[in-house]
Amino acid sequence: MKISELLDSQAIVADLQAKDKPKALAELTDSLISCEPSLNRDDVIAVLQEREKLGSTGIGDGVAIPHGKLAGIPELKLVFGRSHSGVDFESMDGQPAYLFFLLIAPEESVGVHLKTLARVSKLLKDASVRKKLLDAPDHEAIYQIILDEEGQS
Amino acid sequence: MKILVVGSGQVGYFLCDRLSREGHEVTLVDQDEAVVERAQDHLNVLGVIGNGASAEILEQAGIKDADIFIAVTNVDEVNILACLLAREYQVKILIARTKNIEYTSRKAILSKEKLGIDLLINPDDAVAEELSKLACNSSAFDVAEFADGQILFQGYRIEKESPLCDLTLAELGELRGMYRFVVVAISRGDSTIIPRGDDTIQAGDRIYIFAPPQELPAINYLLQSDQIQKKSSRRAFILGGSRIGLQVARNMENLHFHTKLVERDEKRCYQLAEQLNKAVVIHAEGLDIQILVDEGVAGADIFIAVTENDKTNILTCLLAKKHKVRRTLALVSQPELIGLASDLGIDACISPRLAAAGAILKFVRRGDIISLAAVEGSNSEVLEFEIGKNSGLSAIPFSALHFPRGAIIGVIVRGKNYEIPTGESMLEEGDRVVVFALPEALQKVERFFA
Repeated sequence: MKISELLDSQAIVADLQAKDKPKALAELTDSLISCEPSLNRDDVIAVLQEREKLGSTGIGDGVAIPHGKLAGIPELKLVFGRSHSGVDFESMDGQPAYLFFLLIAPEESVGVHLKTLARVSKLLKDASVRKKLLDAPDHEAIYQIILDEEGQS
Repeated sequence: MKILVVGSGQVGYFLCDRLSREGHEVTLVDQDEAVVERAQDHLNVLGVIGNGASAEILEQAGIKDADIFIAVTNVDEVNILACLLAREYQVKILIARTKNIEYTSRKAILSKEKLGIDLLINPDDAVAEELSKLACNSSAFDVAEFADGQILFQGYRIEKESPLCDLTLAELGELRGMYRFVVVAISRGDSTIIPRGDDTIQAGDRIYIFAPPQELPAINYLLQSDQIQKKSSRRAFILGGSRIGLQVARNMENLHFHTKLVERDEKRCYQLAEQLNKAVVIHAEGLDIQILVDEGVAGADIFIAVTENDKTNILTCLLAKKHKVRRTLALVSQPELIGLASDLGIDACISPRLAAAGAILKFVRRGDIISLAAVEGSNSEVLEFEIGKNSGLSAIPFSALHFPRGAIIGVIVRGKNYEIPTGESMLEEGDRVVVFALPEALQKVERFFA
């Protein structure tokens, strides 16, 4: 499944306000809840934090991909977030994170989750894509960049 | 090097096979003419028929020039005496297999230091250690440490519920930013391959990975093999109250498992009960599944069968699986049965022979190769090398190194850091590399780093 098919353009936060990891996770979760009100905010944050405890999902180059599994959700959910000032996400390279993808997957189908995780990682490995995403004026432009990049591959 | 092996039981034969294939000059001494002839026919070794504890026979076998002496007959006394003789001939490295002599505990009267033997190896102890290690490591098997514990080599069975099913190696590689490990080999049925990017992981595969121990929690999360460990009251069943069974039961007690040890000999049950603290000793036949069910085997976390009978071990593991035991481990001595058992869905089959032989091989080759693990059933090996001065390998990108086919450098360890190499990676003097090699590539790999 393509990222653009899983990502609701309304679930893109073009200007994250959070400065630290817990706030960033909460802000991304709020965006998810606004598109998917059936989810429980505390549950989502709890599974994300549990995963972070095992090691940061800040993979370096200004990118973080927090993710988790949740029982009882109908399908995989994605949120994109961008911070202009950077968030201390305890990344491997010690640098702040600017680009975020949040993934929440149904506990029952984690296979799809990993495939999507791989797609997201691959997309953000490309330095030119990261630059475009950082420079995009608003959430619609961000969505269009993701759509275009996936269309090419 | 010139190596003298006394005794060609399973361990001796295995060692002769491995060491001769690695280009060592191996001489085998055994009293049984037929066994010596078989070894001479099948392996590149020189055979001498006679008693390995006799100076005359040892001289005939060329002990005066031997560098390493390995005594692995079935008789402890012969092994020790043979080593003492070899010591008189100034052989540099002496190794003896002992089964019944107590030498490890604090109360032991004899020790390897007193005997002047470099390595005393007890197959039962070696196998009990390995079983205990596996027992606490959910779906993992074949665990070994490299680079002073900085890198673990570990195998995982891929069940059909595994999230890794249908994932390509390239996709897994993309996850390396968050899940830092490398899949160095996949076993499917009888064959083992070193996968490429477009290979897919399938249900039923056994995958082998290199990973630093601190990444294991995240990897277990990824593989969903962490669920079992969360349970607070874990239950373990051990079948067979031999020395191995007792040792495993002790280890499981220490790991806070509710442990039940099943033994069919009543007298032995009393002895066992005296030597264990919390574990419950049950007097029953292993194949009498009803008693085990009454004792609550259904849904237990782990079942470990270590009786002297391979078939009993395999069958009871299957019965345990049927009663929804999460993990089953079987002691299997016969090499032909090892591969079969893992096809049947038993989580791991451990052979005392390989456990002991692996420990001896590791000791013999501690020169350039720092540590080593033999992979059950496939004859593949994991080896560690240090990049010395003038290796001719430094500062050349991997893609231009012409590393042998059928082998892969999984990890480079540099001081306290590690790197999973790509085509652009380069080696430096003092680096340690951990390599996975299929049998046909073993010699080439050793030559590559020589």
